[in-house]
Amino acid sequence: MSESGISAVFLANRALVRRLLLARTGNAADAEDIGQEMWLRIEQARMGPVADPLAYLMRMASNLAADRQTATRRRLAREGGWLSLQPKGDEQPDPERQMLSAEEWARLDALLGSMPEPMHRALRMFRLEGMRQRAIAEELGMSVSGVEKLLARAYRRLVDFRNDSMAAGAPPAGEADGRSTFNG
Amino acid sequence: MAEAALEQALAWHLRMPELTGSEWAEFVDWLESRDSHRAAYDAVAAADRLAGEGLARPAATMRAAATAAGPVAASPLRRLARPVWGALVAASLVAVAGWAMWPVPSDPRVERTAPGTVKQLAFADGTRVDLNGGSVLSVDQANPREARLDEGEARFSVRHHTQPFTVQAGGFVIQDLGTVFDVQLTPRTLQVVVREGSVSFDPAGVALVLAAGERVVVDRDRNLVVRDKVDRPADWLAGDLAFQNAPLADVARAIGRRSGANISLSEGLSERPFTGNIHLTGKEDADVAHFAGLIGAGWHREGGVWVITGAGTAP
Repeated sequence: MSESGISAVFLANRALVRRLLLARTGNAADAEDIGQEMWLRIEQARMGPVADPLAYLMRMASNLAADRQTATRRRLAREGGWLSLQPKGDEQPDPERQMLSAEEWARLDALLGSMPEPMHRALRMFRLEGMRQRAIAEELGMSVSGVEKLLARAYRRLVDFRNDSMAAGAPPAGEADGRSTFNG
Repeated sequence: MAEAALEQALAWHLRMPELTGSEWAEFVDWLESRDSHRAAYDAVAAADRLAGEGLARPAATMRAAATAAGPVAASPLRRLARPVWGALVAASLVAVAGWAMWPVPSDPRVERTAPGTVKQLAFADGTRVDLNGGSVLSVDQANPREARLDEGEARFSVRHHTQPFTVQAGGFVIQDLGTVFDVQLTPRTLQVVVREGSVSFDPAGVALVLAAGERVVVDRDRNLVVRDKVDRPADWLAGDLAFQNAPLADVARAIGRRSGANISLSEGLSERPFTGNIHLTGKEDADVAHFAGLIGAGWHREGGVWVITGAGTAP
């Protein structure tokens, strides 16, 4: 691929990237910002394609959009006055983690700890170790569709957990991480 | 939240690491087609983040959090995340038998190694770095979980905890996910090989997760990132070097880093590609002779320099 490779793919698919960003962030200004950021990243950091350049760009866009969503929610949560839930004094964690109170942390750990062993392992392998579903299936001695169902159930528990947190007036859990990683 | 939309959002998310470019276009179509789709996927993306955050915490902290009523922030690992903490760890960097002791001052510390000299650095958190010869590594002592490889090669054996360990090299960031990995930086290429566990390459951007046995090679001139698998990654620390279509200049550089041999290639040889494995014995003359033999070239010594000459036949 020549030096113009990834840039060319970006330019050729700019409309599609923008549509993804718009759909994920819900506003044109954020989509525009992220598009600019991607362009700078491609030009300056000299990112090149991995196998499928368009898939690569779309993953990048999706990750950056998730970051933006987090930042937006943090701001809204701060304005929403949930200060009482924040840790105080020397418990104050670093800014990256300000959205999860000690109580939220404990509940998140309890949720993950309450998952059946195979579910917890599958989630860890998928989310943290970047393993493909096929590899997870081999590891767990299950079918690929079984793994998919297991992962879907794990994510459902996390979605429910987050919805419950929001219903209880707490800041949306899950916004503390710096980044959403699509494993691959 | 609409049940059907959630189900589809989950299916998309679980397939996402393997989506092709055209499937991404279908995903965008799906997102755009309903408000409920966007809302459902947003919830799944937030859940994904939650999973990443929760799973990345060390088991000990998790147990403490699950059983203790007290705030999690008070556990030692959580305390580590605060700025004050940098100074504490910097002050407690330890020396392990024969390993380099890192002094206390909180300025960025630059470690340089002479060709042929591997230096082992140990951190208080259990992380270990083997710095190959002919290499330069900078560590911000106020934050020993961040290192920058300026030149050469290093193996990072990282003790995973809440604060990720990151290595910068050649304009890219590599973030550990509990792991042992090699990073090699030359003027032409950046190469990351994961030996155990996994790392995130360019976590702020494409966030490629590389598992054990996977490698990323960045061609720094040509803007090209290639990801592939290495069945048995060569162990440079043990003197084993492996090359695939590498210019001889890079091969000579790699030999020099590990063995200390100062090798000069005669004109025309530098760009010639080399594929093969080289085991270094630690005896400079034998290693240079072996290398010259592999590429069908002659060699002689001029002062402190091994000169490889001749238009030997390509291997």
